[in-house]
Amino acid sequence: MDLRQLSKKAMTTEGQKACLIIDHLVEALGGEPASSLRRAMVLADIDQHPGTTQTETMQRLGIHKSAMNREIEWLFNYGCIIRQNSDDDGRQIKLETCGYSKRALEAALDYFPKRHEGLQNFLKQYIKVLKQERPTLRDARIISTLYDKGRASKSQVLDGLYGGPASTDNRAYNKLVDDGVIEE
Amino acid sequence: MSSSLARLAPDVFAGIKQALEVNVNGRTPGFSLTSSFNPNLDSIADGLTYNEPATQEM
Repeated sequence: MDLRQLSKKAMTTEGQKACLIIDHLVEALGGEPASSLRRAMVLADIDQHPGTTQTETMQRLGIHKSAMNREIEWLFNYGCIIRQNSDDDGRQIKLETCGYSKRALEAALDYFPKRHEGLQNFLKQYIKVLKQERPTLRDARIISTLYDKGRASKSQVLDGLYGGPASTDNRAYNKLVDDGVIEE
Repeated sequence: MSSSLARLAPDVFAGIKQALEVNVNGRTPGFSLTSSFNPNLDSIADGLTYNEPATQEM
């Protein structure tokens, strides 16, 4: 991390850091705020273990095989990871993060002294507090904005999102109210 | 759109705070140098006894 990055982070509040981390993860996942936090965990795991296999990541994260297949296909199609045949075992496919995704993930990792371990724990904690089956980065950004602001109007919170369809943002916000994550 | 102010549920706020303190700031959970905990140091000192430091043999 260079001096400019360090000073920027020193002047940033905790809530703003949370927002920036989520923003970097959205960037790392093809600019798709609908990506799940679980997908971010898969990407971070592959980045932490370059050359790992799908089975190894699946075991480390405790994700079901069919769900894992979908995540790996998505990450590959969006250019977040590359797949290479193993030299040792032709049946094995090794995975690595690459390109824009790796760079954006690196920007997120800058906030964590323990790097990948810290990011994974951070994401696990968010999954826990969001109380949903499949929370997204959009959900995480909404609660990060509210954490930073303390109290805010719905429009102030939604203004911090990613310029997607207003109906999608509204639906995500309303779900968080229904789930008791946000109090109005 | 409603103009009322929203906030996080207390348990959600606490969960995010912990996620940031532990993983981003590297602090031990439940301990913060910036917390409002402000002990009366004199009363704590009253309960302490001073032990002569053991001499370290070379």
